[in-house]
Amino acid sequence: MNRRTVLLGIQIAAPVLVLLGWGLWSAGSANIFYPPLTKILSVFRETWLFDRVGSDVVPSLVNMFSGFALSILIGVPLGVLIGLVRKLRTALAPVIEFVRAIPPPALIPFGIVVLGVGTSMKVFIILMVALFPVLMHTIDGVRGVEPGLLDSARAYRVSRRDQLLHVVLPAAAPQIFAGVRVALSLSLILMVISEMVASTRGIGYFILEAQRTFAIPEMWSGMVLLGILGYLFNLAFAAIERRALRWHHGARKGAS
Amino acid sequence: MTDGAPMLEVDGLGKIYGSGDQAVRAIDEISFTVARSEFLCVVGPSGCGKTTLLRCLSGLMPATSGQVRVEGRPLDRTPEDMAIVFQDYSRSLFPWMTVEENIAFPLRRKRLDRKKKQSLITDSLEAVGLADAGKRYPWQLSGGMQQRVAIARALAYEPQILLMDEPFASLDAQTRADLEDLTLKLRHDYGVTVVFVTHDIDEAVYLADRIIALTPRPTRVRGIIEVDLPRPRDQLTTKELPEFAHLRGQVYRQVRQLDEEGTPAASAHGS
Repeated sequence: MNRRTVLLGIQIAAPVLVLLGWGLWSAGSANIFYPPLTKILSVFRETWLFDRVGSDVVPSLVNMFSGFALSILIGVPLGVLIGLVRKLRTALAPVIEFVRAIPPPALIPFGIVVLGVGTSMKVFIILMVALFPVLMHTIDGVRGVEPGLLDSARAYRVSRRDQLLHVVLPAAAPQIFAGVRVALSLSLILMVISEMVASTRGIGYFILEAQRTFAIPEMWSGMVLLGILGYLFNLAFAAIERRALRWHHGARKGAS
Repeated sequence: MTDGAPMLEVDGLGKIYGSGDQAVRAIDEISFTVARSEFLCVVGPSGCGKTTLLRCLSGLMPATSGQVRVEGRPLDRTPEDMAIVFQDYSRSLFPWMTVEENIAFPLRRKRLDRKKKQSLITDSLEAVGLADAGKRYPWQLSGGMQQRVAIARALAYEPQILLMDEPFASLDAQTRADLEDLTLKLRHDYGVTVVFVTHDIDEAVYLADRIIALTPRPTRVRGIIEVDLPRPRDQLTTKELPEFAHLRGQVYRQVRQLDEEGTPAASAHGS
Protein backbone atom coordinates (compact mmCIF):
# COMPACT_ATOMS: atom_id res chain seq x y z
CA MET A 1 0.00 0.00 0.00
CA ASN A 2 1.49 3.31 -0.89
CA ARG A 3 1.48 6.44 1.20
CA ARG A 4 -1.42 8.01 -0.67
CA THR A 5 -3.79 5.11 -0.04
CA VAL A 6 -2.81 5.02 3.63
CA LEU A 7 -3.53 8.72 4.01
CA LEU A 8 -6.83 8.38 2.17
CA GLY A 9 -7.73 5.45 4.42
CA ILE A 10 -7.02 7.52 7.53
CA GLN A 11 -9.06 10.37 6.08
CA ILE A 12 -12.07 8.11 5.68
CA ALA A 13 -11.55 6.07 8.84
CA ALA A 14 -11.34 9.03 11.24
CA PRO A 15 -14.88 10.40 10.71
CA VAL A 16 -16.27 6.84 10.68
CA LEU A 17 -14.65 6.22 14.05
CA VAL A 18 -16.05 9.48 15.43
CA LEU A 19 -19.54 8.50 14.28
CA LEU A 20 -19.10 5.01 15.71
CA GLY A 21 -17.93 6.44 19.02
CA TRP A 22 -20.85 8.85 19.12
CA GLY A 23 -23.25 6.03 18.26
CA LEU A 24 -21.92 3.73 21.01
CA TRP A 25 -21.77 6.50 23.60
CA SER A 26 -25.31 7.71 22.90
CA ALA A 27 -26.91 4.29 22.35
CA GLY A 28 -29.78 3.83 24.79
CA SER A 29 -29.27 7.35 26.11
CA ALA A 30 -32.21 8.51 28.21
CA ASN A 31 -30.95 12.09 28.44
CA ILE A 32 -33.31 14.08 26.27
CA PHE A 33 -30.58 16.58 25.32
CA TYR A 34 -28.33 13.86 23.94
CA PRO A 35 -30.62 11.49 22.04
CA PRO A 36 -29.13 8.30 20.56
CA LEU A 37 -27.38 8.86 17.25
CA THR A 38 -29.64 6.28 15.63
CA LYS A 39 -32.62 8.38 16.66
CA ILE A 40 -31.03 11.53 15.23
CA LEU A 41 -30.27 9.76 11.97
CA SER A 42 -33.74 8.38 11.54
CA VAL A 43 -35.20 11.84 12.27
CA PHE A 44 -32.69 13.23 9.80
CA ARG A 45 -33.98 10.87 7.12
CA GLU A 46 -37.60 11.68 7.83
CA THR A 47 -36.98 15.40 7.98
CA TRP A 48 -34.40 16.21 5.36
CA LEU A 49 -34.82 13.35 2.82
CA PHE A 50 -36.71 15.08 1.34
CA ASP A 51 -39.68 16.30 3.31
CA ARG A 52 -38.45 19.77 4.18
CA VAL A 53 -36.11 20.32 1.27
CA GLY A 54 -38.57 22.46 -0.65
CA SER A 55 -39.92 24.31 2.35
CA ASP A 56 -36.70 25.02 4.29
CA VAL A 57 -33.48 23.90 2.62
CA VAL A 58 -34.05 25.46 -0.78
CA PRO A 59 -35.14 28.89 0.53
CA SER A 60 -32.18 28.92 2.91
CA LEU A 61 -29.70 28.07 0.20
CA VAL A 62 -31.24 30.52 -2.25
CA ASN A 63 -30.68 33.27 0.32
CA MET A 64 -27.20 32.11 1.03
CA PHE A 65 -26.09 31.89 -2.56
CA SER A 66 -27.79 35.16 -3.51
CA GLY A 67 -25.83 36.96 -0.80
CA PHE A 68 -22.67 35.07 -1.63
CA ALA A 69 -22.95 35.70 -5.38
CA LEU A 70 -23.68 39.38 -4.82
CA SER A 71 -20.64 39.67 -2.57
CA ILE A 72 -18.48 38.45 -5.46
CA LEU A 73 -20.26 40.50 -8.12
CA ILE A 74 -19.85 43.66 -6.06
CA GLY A 75 -16.66 42.86 -4.16
CA VAL A 76 -14.39 41.91 -7.06
CA PRO A 77 -15.06 44.88 -9.39
CA LEU A 78 -15.09 47.31 -6.48
CA GLY A 79 -11.91 45.79 -5.09
CA VAL A 80 -10.17 46.04 -8.46
CA LEU A 81 -11.20 49.68 -8.76
CA ILE A 82 -10.07 50.55 -5.24
CA GLY A 83 -6.89 48.54 -5.66
CA LEU A 84 -5.95 50.37 -8.84
CA VAL A 85 -6.90 53.92 -7.86
CA ARG A 86 -4.79 55.15 -5.00
CA LYS A 87 -6.91 58.21 -4.24
CA LEU A 88 -10.01 56.08 -3.96
CA ARG A 89 -8.19 53.77 -1.59
CA THR A 90 -7.10 56.61 0.66
CA ALA A 91 -10.60 58.06 0.68
CA LEU A 92 -12.47 54.82 1.29
CA ALA A 93 -10.15 53.05 3.72
CA PRO A 94 -11.60 54.59 6.92
CA VAL A 95 -15.16 54.02 5.75
CA ILE A 96 -14.49 50.39 4.91
CA GLU A 97 -12.72 49.78 8.19
CA PHE A 98 -15.63 51.32 10.08
CA VAL A 99 -18.38 49.33 8.40
CA ARG A 100 -16.30 46.20 8.64
CA ALA A 101 -15.85 46.65 12.37
CA ILE A 102 -19.60 46.49 13.09
CA PRO A 103 -20.42 42.98 14.35
CA PRO A 104 -22.67 41.48 11.66
CA PRO A 105 -25.64 40.47 13.86
CA ALA A 106 -25.92 44.11 14.89
CA LEU A 107 -26.97 44.83 11.31
CA ILE A 108 -30.07 42.67 11.65
CA PRO A 109 -32.27 45.20 13.48
CA PHE A 110 -31.34 47.79 10.89
CA GLY A 111 -32.06 45.31 8.10
CA ILE A 112 -35.48 44.52 9.55
CA VAL A 113 -36.40 48.18 9.82
CA VAL A 114 -35.30 49.01 6.30
CA LEU A 115 -36.04 45.81 4.40
CA GLY A 116 -38.63 44.04 6.57
CA VAL A 117 -38.36 40.43 7.69
CA GLY A 118 -38.38 38.82 4.26
CA THR A 119 -35.82 37.42 1.92
CA SER A 120 -34.18 40.71 1.01
CA MET A 121 -33.23 41.40 4.62
CA LYS A 122 -31.52 38.01 4.87
CA VAL A 123 -29.69 38.42 1.58
CA PHE A 124 -28.64 41.90 2.67
CA ILE A 125 -27.19 40.61 5.94
CA ILE A 126 -25.29 37.82 4.18
CA LEU A 127 -24.01 40.23 1.55
CA MET A 128 -22.88 42.80 4.10
CA VAL A 129 -20.74 40.21 5.83
CA ALA A 130 -19.47 38.19 2.87
CA LEU A 131 -18.59 41.34 0.92
CA PHE A 132 -15.63 42.39 3.06
CA PRO A 133 -13.36 39.38 2.75
CA VAL A 134 -13.88 39.43 -1.02
CA LEU A 135 -13.30 43.18 -1.17
CA MET A 136 -10.22 43.27 1.06
CA HIS A 137 -8.56 40.29 -0.58
CA THR A 138 -9.24 41.67 -4.04
CA ILE A 139 -7.71 45.03 -3.10
CA ASP A 140 -4.64 43.28 -1.69
CA GLY A 141 -4.40 41.01 -4.71
CA VAL A 142 -4.59 43.87 -7.18
CA ARG A 143 -2.04 45.92 -5.27
CA GLY A 144 0.28 42.95 -5.05
CA VAL A 145 0.48 42.27 -8.79
CA GLU A 146 4.12 41.70 -9.68
CA PRO A 147 5.34 45.00 -11.24
CA GLY A 148 7.45 43.05 -13.73
CA LEU A 149 4.32 41.52 -15.22
CA LEU A 150 2.75 44.96 -15.68
CA ASP A 151 5.99 46.23 -17.23
CA SER A 152 5.89 43.35 -19.68
CA ALA A 153 2.32 44.13 -20.64
CA ARG A 154 3.02 47.86 -20.96
CA ALA A 155 6.21 47.33 -22.94
CA TYR A 156 4.25 45.28 -25.46
CA ARG A 157 1.57 47.95 -25.65
CA VAL A 158 -1.16 45.68 -24.35
CA SER A 159 -4.42 47.64 -24.13
CA ARG A 160 -5.71 48.77 -20.73
CA ARG A 161 -8.62 46.40 -21.07
CA ASP A 162 -6.40 43.40 -21.79
CA GLN A 163 -4.05 44.42 -18.99
CA LEU A 164 -6.98 44.35 -16.61
CA LEU A 165 -8.58 41.14 -17.86
CA HIS A 166 -5.48 39.12 -18.67
CA VAL A 167 -2.84 40.42 -16.29
CA VAL A 168 -4.30 42.11 -13.21
CA LEU A 169 -7.24 39.77 -12.63
CA PRO A 170 -5.37 36.48 -13.11
CA ALA A 171 -2.45 37.76 -11.02
CA ALA A 172 -4.85 38.70 -8.22
CA ALA A 173 -6.91 35.51 -8.59
CA PRO A 174 -5.18 33.49 -5.84
CA GLN A 175 -5.93 36.26 -3.35
CA ILE A 176 -9.46 36.72 -4.64
CA PHE A 177 -10.13 33.01 -4.26
CA ALA A 178 -8.87 33.13 -0.69
CA GLY A 179 -11.35 35.94 0.02
CA VAL A 180 -14.19 34.12 -1.67
CA ARG A 181 -13.48 31.04 0.38
CA VAL A 182 -13.88 33.03 3.61
CA ALA A 183 -17.02 34.63 2.18
CA LEU A 184 -18.48 31.20 1.49
CA SER A 185 -18.25 30.01 5.10
CA LEU A 186 -19.44 33.39 6.40
CA SER A 187 -22.44 33.16 4.08
CA LEU A 188 -23.48 29.86 5.62
CA ILE A 189 -23.08 31.24 9.14
CA LEU A 190 -25.05 34.39 8.39
CA MET A 191 -27.72 32.38 6.59
CA VAL A 192 -28.40 30.54 9.86
CA ILE A 193 -28.21 33.65 12.05
CA SER A 194 -30.54 35.64 9.79
CA GLU A 195 -33.10 32.83 10.00
CA MET A 196 -33.07 32.74 13.76
CA VAL A 197 -34.60 36.21 13.96
CA ALA A 198 -38.10 37.04 12.75
CA SER A 199 -38.31 34.14 10.37
CA THR A 200 -40.87 31.51 9.47
CA ARG A 201 -38.84 29.08 7.45
CA GLY A 202 -35.31 27.96 6.66
CA ILE A 203 -32.82 25.63 8.31
CA GLY A 204 -31.88 28.13 11.02
CA TYR A 205 -35.55 28.70 11.82
CA PHE A 206 -36.13 24.96 11.93
CA ILE A 207 -33.33 24.37 14.45
CA LEU A 208 -34.49 27.17 16.73
CA GLU A 209 -38.12 26.07 16.49
CA ALA A 210 -37.18 22.45 17.25
CA GLN A 211 -35.27 23.57 20.32
CA ARG A 212 -38.19 25.68 21.55
CA THR A 213 -40.63 22.80 21.20
CA PHE A 214 -38.24 20.30 22.80
CA ALA A 215 -37.93 18.35 19.55
CA ILE A 216 -34.31 17.70 20.42
CA PRO A 217 -33.53 14.99 17.82
CA GLU A 218 -34.90 17.35 15.16
CA MET A 219 -32.65 20.11 16.46
CA TRP A 220 -29.67 17.78 16.24
CA SER A 221 -30.63 16.69 12.74
CA GLY A 222 -30.57 20.34 11.62
CA MET A 223 -27.08 20.77 13.02
CA VAL A 224 -25.92 17.63 11.25
CA LEU A 225 -27.42 18.92 8.01
CA LEU A 226 -25.54 22.23 8.33
CA GLY A 227 -22.31 20.38 8.97
CA ILE A 228 -22.81 18.26 5.87
CA LEU A 229 -23.73 21.28 3.72
CA GLY A 230 -20.72 23.28 4.89
CA TYR A 231 -18.44 20.36 4.20
CA LEU A 232 -19.85 19.82 0.70
CA PHE A 233 -19.58 23.52 -0.17
CA ASN A 234 -15.95 23.53 0.84
CA LEU A 235 -15.24 20.43 -1.21
CA ALA A 236 -16.91 21.94 -4.27
CA PHE A 237 -15.08 25.20 -3.77
CA ALA A 238 -11.72 23.48 -3.40
CA ALA A 239 -12.35 21.59 -6.64
CA ILE A 240 -13.19 24.78 -8.54
CA GLU A 241 -10.19 26.55 -7.08
CA ARG A 242 -7.80 23.74 -7.94
CA ARG A 243 -8.97 23.91 -11.51
CA ALA A 244 -8.96 27.68 -11.85
CA LEU A 245 -5.61 28.16 -10.12
CA ARG A 246 -3.84 25.17 -11.59
CA TRP A 247 -1.06 27.46 -12.84
CA HIS A 248 -0.65 28.97 -9.39
CA HIS A 249 -0.24 25.67 -7.59
CA GLY A 250 2.03 24.39 -10.35
CA ALA A 251 4.20 27.50 -10.30
CA ARG A 252 4.48 27.39 -6.53
CA LYS A 253 5.44 23.75 -6.57
CA GLY A 254 8.01 24.47 -9.25
CA ALA A 255 9.51 27.30 -7.25
CA SER A 256 9.96 25.40 -4.01
CA MET B 1 9.37 59.24 -41.55
CA THR B 2 13.02 60.15 -41.49
CA ASP B 3 14.98 57.43 -43.24
CA GLY B 4 18.34 58.94 -42.47
CA ALA B 5 17.73 59.11 -38.73
CA PRO B 6 19.57 56.69 -36.49
CA MET B 7 17.52 53.86 -35.02
CA LEU B 8 17.81 55.28 -31.52
CA GLU B 9 19.02 58.67 -30.33
CA VAL B 10 19.54 59.50 -26.69
CA ASP B 11 19.98 63.21 -26.22
CA GLY B 12 20.99 64.64 -22.85
CA LEU B 13 18.95 62.08 -20.94
CA GLY B 14 18.78 62.63 -17.18
CA LYS B 15 16.75 61.01 -14.42
CA ILE B 16 16.14 62.20 -10.88
CA TYR B 17 14.10 60.09 -8.48
CA GLY B 18 12.04 61.92 -5.89
CA SER B 19 12.25 65.64 -5.24
CA GLY B 20 13.60 68.14 -2.72
CA ASP B 21 15.92 66.71 -0.08
CA GLN B 22 14.95 63.20 -1.04
CA ALA B 23 15.98 63.63 -4.66
CA VAL B 24 18.41 61.05 -6.01
CA ARG B 25 20.18 61.86 -9.23
CA ALA B 26 20.32 58.46 -10.89
CA ILE B 27 21.39 59.56 -14.35
CA ASP B 28 23.27 62.82 -14.72
CA GLU B 29 23.42 63.18 -18.48
CA ILE B 30 23.70 60.53 -21.14
CA SER B 31 23.85 60.98 -24.90
CA PHE B 32 24.54 58.41 -27.60
CA THR B 33 23.08 57.09 -30.81
CA VAL B 34 22.51 53.58 -32.09
CA ALA B 35 22.69 52.87 -35.81
CA ARG B 36 20.28 50.59 -37.62
CA SER B 37 21.17 46.90 -37.09
CA GLU B 38 23.90 47.80 -34.62
CA PHE B 39 24.57 45.66 -31.56
CA LEU B 40 25.26 48.05 -28.70
CA CYS B 41 26.21 46.90 -25.24
CA VAL B 42 25.85 49.13 -22.20
CA VAL B 43 28.16 48.22 -19.31
CA GLY B 44 28.77 49.88 -15.99
CA PRO B 45 29.54 49.18 -12.34
CA SER B 46 26.68 47.64 -10.37
CA GLY B 47 24.11 50.11 -9.20
CA CYS B 48 25.03 52.61 -11.89
CA GLY B 49 21.52 53.02 -13.20
CA LYS B 50 21.72 50.68 -16.19
CA THR B 51 18.21 49.47 -15.60
CA THR B 52 17.02 53.04 -15.07
CA LEU B 53 18.54 53.94 -18.41
CA LEU B 54 16.84 51.04 -20.13
CA ARG B 55 13.48 51.89 -18.60
CA CYS B 56 13.86 55.44 -19.89
CA LEU B 57 14.90 54.19 -23.34
CA SER B 58 11.83 51.97 -23.53
CA GLY B 59 9.36 54.60 -22.39
CA LEU B 60 8.38 52.55 -19.35
CA MET B 61 9.59 55.46 -17.22
CA PRO B 62 9.68 59.14 -18.16
CA ALA B 63 13.09 60.81 -18.17
CA THR B 64 13.53 63.94 -16.05
CA SER B 65 15.42 65.75 -18.78
CA GLY B 66 16.59 65.18 -22.31
CA GLN B 67 14.96 63.21 -25.06
CA VAL B 68 14.91 59.75 -26.59
CA ARG B 69 14.08 59.44 -30.27
CA VAL B 70 13.34 56.21 -32.10
CA GLU B 71 13.78 56.58 -35.88
CA GLY B 72 13.59 60.34 -35.35
CA ARG B 73 10.30 60.26 -33.42
CA PRO B 74 10.32 61.40 -29.79
CA LEU B 75 9.35 58.63 -27.44
CA ASP B 76 6.38 58.87 -25.11
CA ARG B 77 5.58 55.22 -24.49
CA THR B 78 7.15 52.01 -25.72
CA PRO B 79 7.08 52.29 -29.50
CA GLU B 80 5.38 49.71 -31.64
CA ASP B 81 8.59 48.41 -33.16
CA MET B 82 10.45 47.93 -29.89
CA ALA B 83 10.53 44.73 -27.85
CA ILE B 84 12.10 44.17 -24.45
CA VAL B 85 13.61 41.11 -22.82
CA PHE B 86 13.79 41.59 -19.07
CA GLN B 87 16.31 40.13 -16.66
CA ASP B 88 13.83 38.28 -14.51
CA TYR B 89 12.03 35.90 -16.86
CA SER B 90 9.96 34.50 -13.98
CA ARG B 91 8.44 37.96 -13.53
CA SER B 92 8.04 38.85 -17.15
CA LEU B 93 6.31 35.74 -18.51
CA PHE B 94 2.70 35.27 -17.45
CA PRO B 95 2.46 32.06 -15.40
CA TRP B 96 -1.24 31.53 -16.20
CA MET B 97 -0.58 31.47 -19.93
CA THR B 98 1.05 28.65 -21.88
CA VAL B 99 4.21 29.42 -23.80
CA GLU B 100 2.17 29.97 -26.97
CA GLU B 101 -0.30 32.21 -25.20
CA ASN B 102 2.55 34.24 -23.76
CA ILE B 103 3.91 34.81 -27.24
CA ALA B 104 0.48 35.52 -28.70
CA PHE B 105 -0.55 37.99 -26.00
CA PRO B 106 1.43 41.01 -27.30
CA LEU B 107 0.16 40.25 -30.81
CA ARG B 108 -3.50 40.81 -29.89
CA ARG B 109 -3.23 44.48 -30.74
CA LYS B 110 -1.71 43.82 -34.14
CA ARG B 111 -4.93 42.30 -35.46
CA LEU B 112 -3.18 39.64 -37.49
CA ASP B 113 -5.10 36.83 -39.13
CA ARG B 114 -4.90 33.43 -37.47
CA LYS B 115 -2.52 31.92 -39.95
CA LYS B 116 -0.03 34.75 -39.78
CA LYS B 117 -0.20 34.77 -36.00
CA GLN B 118 0.32 31.03 -35.74
CA SER B 119 3.27 31.14 -38.11
CA LEU B 120 4.89 33.94 -36.07
CA ILE B 121 4.52 31.84 -32.93
CA THR B 122 5.80 28.64 -34.53
CA ASP B 123 8.71 30.36 -36.26
CA SER B 124 9.86 32.24 -33.20
CA LEU B 125 9.70 29.13 -31.01
CA GLU B 126 11.66 27.25 -33.62
CA ALA B 127 14.22 30.07 -33.80
CA VAL B 128 14.96 29.76 -30.09
CA GLY B 129 14.98 25.96 -30.22
CA LEU B 130 11.74 25.35 -28.36
CA ALA B 131 9.50 24.10 -31.15
CA ASP B 132 7.87 21.50 -28.87
CA ALA B 133 7.29 23.63 -25.79
CA GLY B 134 4.32 25.69 -27.04
CA LYS B 135 1.67 23.98 -24.97
CA ARG B 136 3.66 23.97 -21.74
CA TYR B 137 3.60 26.55 -18.99
CA PRO B 138 6.65 28.74 -18.28
CA TRP B 139 7.05 27.32 -14.78
CA GLN B 140 7.38 23.85 -16.25
CA LEU B 141 10.55 24.97 -18.03
CA SER B 142 14.10 25.61 -16.81
CA GLY B 143 15.37 29.17 -16.38
CA GLY B 144 17.26 29.11 -19.65
CA MET B 145 14.21 27.81 -21.51
CA GLN B 146 12.04 30.49 -19.95
CA GLN B 147 14.41 33.17 -21.14
CA ARG B 148 14.27 31.58 -24.59
CA VAL B 149 10.50 31.95 -24.45
CA ALA B 150 10.91 35.61 -23.54
CA ILE B 151 13.20 36.02 -26.54
CA ALA B 152 10.72 34.19 -28.78
CA ARG B 153 7.98 36.52 -27.56
CA ALA B 154 10.15 39.48 -28.52
CA LEU B 155 10.91 38.02 -31.96
CA ALA B 156 7.29 37.21 -32.77
CA TYR B 157 6.51 40.86 -32.10
CA GLU B 158 8.69 41.68 -35.14
CA PRO B 159 10.55 44.57 -33.59
CA GLN B 160 13.05 46.86 -35.30
CA ILE B 161 14.83 47.34 -32.03
CA LEU B 162 15.34 44.92 -29.19
CA LEU B 163 16.22 46.06 -25.66
CA MET B 164 17.71 43.44 -23.38
CA ASP B 165 18.17 44.16 -19.68
CA GLU B 166 20.85 41.86 -18.25
CA PRO B 167 18.89 38.99 -19.77
CA PHE B 168 21.34 36.23 -18.87
CA ALA B 169 22.47 37.46 -15.45
CA SER B 170 20.66 34.78 -13.49
CA LEU B 171 21.58 31.83 -15.70
CA ASP B 172 24.44 29.36 -15.33
CA ALA B 173 27.57 29.79 -17.46
CA GLN B 174 26.79 27.10 -20.04
CA THR B 175 23.20 28.27 -20.63
CA ARG B 176 24.48 31.79 -20.77
CA ALA B 177 27.00 31.02 -23.50
CA ASP B 178 24.32 29.19 -25.50
CA LEU B 179 21.93 32.13 -25.26
CA GLU B 180 24.66 34.63 -26.18
CA ASP B 181 25.26 32.68 -29.37
CA LEU B 182 21.54 32.45 -29.97
CA THR B 183 21.23 36.22 -29.57
CA LEU B 184 24.03 36.80 -32.11
CA LYS B 185 22.44 34.40 -34.57
CA LEU B 186 19.03 35.99 -34.23
CA ARG B 187 20.50 39.45 -34.66
CA HIS B 188 22.12 38.18 -37.85
CA ASP B 189 18.99 36.42 -39.15
CA TYR B 190 16.46 39.10 -38.26
CA GLY B 191 18.71 42.13 -38.74
CA VAL B 192 17.31 43.68 -35.59
CA THR B 193 19.01 46.53 -33.71
CA VAL B 194 20.00 45.42 -30.22
CA VAL B 195 20.68 47.45 -27.09
CA PHE B 196 22.02 45.01 -24.53
CA VAL B 197 22.59 46.04 -20.92
CA THR B 198 25.00 43.92 -18.91
CA HIS B 199 27.46 44.14 -16.05
CA ASP B 200 29.55 41.34 -17.55
CA ILE B 201 32.47 42.80 -19.51
CA ASP B 202 33.31 39.53 -21.31
CA GLU B 203 29.75 39.23 -22.46
CA ALA B 204 29.72 42.81 -23.69
CA VAL B 205 32.95 42.42 -25.70
CA TYR B 206 31.82 39.09 -27.12
CA LEU B 207 28.46 40.40 -28.34
CA ALA B 208 28.89 44.05 -29.23
CA ASP B 209 29.72 46.16 -32.23
CA ARG B 210 30.20 49.01 -29.80
CA ILE B 211 30.27 49.29 -26.04
CA ILE B 212 29.18 52.24 -23.94
CA ALA B 213 30.80 52.27 -20.51
CA LEU B 214 28.97 54.19 -17.80
CA THR B 215 30.24 55.85 -14.63
CA PRO B 216 28.76 55.18 -11.17
CA ARG B 217 25.85 57.37 -10.02
CA PRO B 218 25.05 59.97 -11.07
CA THR B 219 25.62 58.19 -14.33
CA ARG B 220 27.41 59.67 -17.32
CA VAL B 221 28.99 58.10 -20.36
CA ARG B 222 32.51 57.17 -19.36
CA GLY B 223 33.69 56.04 -22.75
CA ILE B 224 32.65 54.44 -26.02
CA ILE B 225 34.65 51.49 -27.30
CA GLU B 226 34.45 50.16 -30.84
CA VAL B 227 34.59 46.37 -30.95
CA ASP B 228 35.97 45.36 -34.34
CA LEU B 229 36.33 41.66 -33.64
CA PRO B 230 35.55 39.52 -36.69
CA ARG B 231 32.12 37.94 -37.12
CA PRO B 232 30.72 35.34 -36.85
CA ARG B 233 32.00 35.12 -33.32
CA ASP B 234 32.73 31.94 -31.48
CA GLN B 235 32.91 31.28 -27.76
CA LEU B 236 36.34 29.69 -28.11
CA THR B 237 38.23 31.30 -30.98
CA THR B 238 36.90 34.83 -30.51
CA LYS B 239 37.74 34.82 -26.84
CA GLU B 240 41.27 33.53 -27.59
CA LEU B 241 42.07 36.48 -29.86
CA PRO B 242 44.62 38.91 -28.44
CA GLU B 243 42.29 41.72 -29.52
CA PHE B 244 39.59 40.25 -27.29
CA ALA B 245 41.87 40.39 -24.26
CA HIS B 246 42.93 43.90 -25.18
CA LEU B 247 39.34 45.15 -25.57
CA ARG B 248 38.34 43.41 -22.38
CA GLY B 249 41.10 45.24 -20.51
CA GLN B 250 40.13 48.52 -22.11
CA VAL B 251 36.50 48.20 -21.08
CA TYR B 252 37.48 46.96 -17.64
CA ARG B 253 39.59 50.07 -17.03
CA GLN B 254 36.75 52.30 -18.17
CA VAL B 255 34.24 50.61 -15.92
CA ARG B 256 36.52 50.46 -12.89
CA GLN B 257 37.85 53.94 -13.62
CA LEU B 258 41.46 52.84 -13.73
CA ASP B 259 44.15 54.54 -15.76
CA GLU B 260 46.55 52.69 -18.06
CA GLU B 261 48.80 51.58 -15.18
CA GLY B 262 45.87 50.05 -13.35
CA THR B 263 45.71 52.54 -10.49
CA PRO B 264 42.49 54.41 -9.79
CA ALA B 265 42.28 57.55 -11.84
CA ALA B 266 42.32 60.91 -10.03
CA SER B 267 39.02 62.03 -11.53
CA ALA B 268 36.26 60.63 -13.67
CA HIS B 269 38.05 62.00 -16.71
CA GLY B 270 41.55 61.18 -15.59
CA SER B 271 42.66 58.48 -18.03
